[in-house]
Amino acid sequence: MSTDISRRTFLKGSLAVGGLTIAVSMGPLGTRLLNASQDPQALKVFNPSIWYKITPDNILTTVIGSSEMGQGAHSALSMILADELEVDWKQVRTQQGPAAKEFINPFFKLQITVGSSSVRAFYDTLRQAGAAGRSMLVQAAAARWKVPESECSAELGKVKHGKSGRSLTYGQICLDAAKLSVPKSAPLKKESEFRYIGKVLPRLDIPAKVSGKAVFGLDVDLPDLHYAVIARPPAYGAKPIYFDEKAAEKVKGVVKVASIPMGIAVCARTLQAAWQGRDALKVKWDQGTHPQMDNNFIEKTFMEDLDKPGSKAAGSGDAAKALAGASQKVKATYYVPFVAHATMEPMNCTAELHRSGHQGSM
Amino acid sequence: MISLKVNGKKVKLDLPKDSILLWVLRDHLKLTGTKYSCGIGECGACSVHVNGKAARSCTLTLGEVQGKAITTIEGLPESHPVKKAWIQEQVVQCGYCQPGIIMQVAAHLEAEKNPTTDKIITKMDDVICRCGSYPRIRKGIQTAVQLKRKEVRKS
Repeated sequence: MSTDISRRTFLKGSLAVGGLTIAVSMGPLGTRLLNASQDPQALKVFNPSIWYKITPDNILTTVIGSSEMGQGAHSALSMILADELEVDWKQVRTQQGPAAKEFINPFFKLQITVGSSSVRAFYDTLRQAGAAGRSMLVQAAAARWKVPESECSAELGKVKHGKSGRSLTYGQICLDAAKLSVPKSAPLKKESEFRYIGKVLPRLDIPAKVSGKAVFGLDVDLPDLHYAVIARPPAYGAKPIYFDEKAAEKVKGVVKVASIPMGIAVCARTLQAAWQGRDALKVKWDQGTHPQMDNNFIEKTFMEDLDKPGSKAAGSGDAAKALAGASQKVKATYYVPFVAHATMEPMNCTAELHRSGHQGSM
Repeated sequence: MISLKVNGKKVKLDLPKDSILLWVLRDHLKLTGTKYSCGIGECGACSVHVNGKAARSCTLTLGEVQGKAITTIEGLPESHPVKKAWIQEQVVQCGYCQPGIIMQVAAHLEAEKNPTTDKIITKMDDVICRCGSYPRIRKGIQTAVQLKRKEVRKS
């Protein structure tokens, strides 16, 4: 799969509106920041991990590669940026970044959102990125007023000039700031000056999830979208010994039946038709590679293994001695079945194959 | 042709009577706020209002709702006490089950002449939230009941 298309389309859309765009890259050499407002082409070689943009409508938009699964990654990372930038939380919007190598989590070398790692991975970088933007906005305002930068300060989406009482919103100066180069090192806030970091703020993703407008994986819609479902084996490694491909193909809306490594896929114009097609296959499976494997077998194996000597991961104290001397002993067995995650949203993925047939995006 | 009302608008659909309401809403009317999850009416992610009552759209056919008024999450006003309470209490985690849960709470809240948190909660034991946001759903219901009472007092 090539990420080029989604990235290109994304850049086009994201840079269409003028404003101050800062691209943030995290690599082996540390954080690098780029003013992408002036030179969108530079992004092709720059590979930003995260970006943000301040536009004349006074809105800060953050683009984040971590997935928002409700644990608050989008809000948390935006909070770090907004804090250092000195933006009012009400002015913050966030966008899901595309699947692209630029969004790789440096801890795991994958674009993965896992293990409460988003904040740990991006904290320092986002603070530097936010501080750099704040410094550029202050510089732009000072230049407009022809006063020294040291007389200006940023506060809640505005640059203020204390002596004269003048102020400019970030929206009013973002186009000026966009013409400046990113400072090599901008002063970070003191922790005592934090506005958002360490506090509980209303999450950015909640309003759309309450209104019904949030787009989940299964809600993605593309022109001429088809749906494929897979008839999967009921046992490990089972292979189909019979299926009625013709019957499935006869179902109205079914476009193609294909054998794939994990079963038999039925592709149709609607999900309902794909399901009907799958039922029509009437697949018969062989016993598979582990015919004895069922819940009882797994439980029995686990319980038997408990009686075998294990390997030591850690140790402290003397359990045998403590138990021998205990005045009260309690015995209980806890068993947790071997279960799948069973998410509310069925696992799904949307792929777009482009006309050339050589490129696609997911 | 099957006629029904969706979110206040008259809709005519040239679809078989046994089409499932959920997929009519999602695929044909592009109202994707209503979610597909278990597909057998057990989890509540697909709940909508049919003539004001909460119903699971994954087990209803178009024939069964012919001529009726359907309200989806998109049709429930943003000023509705349940939606407001859900934002105020930050109920949502991943959010996938919530449109259905919001619709079910809203229907019971509207039906109760004298709503209380306990009365609504006893009607919510058949929904599933995989994130386990139940304590927040309870808080959301509590706040929605208070907002609703304020609304009634004002009117």
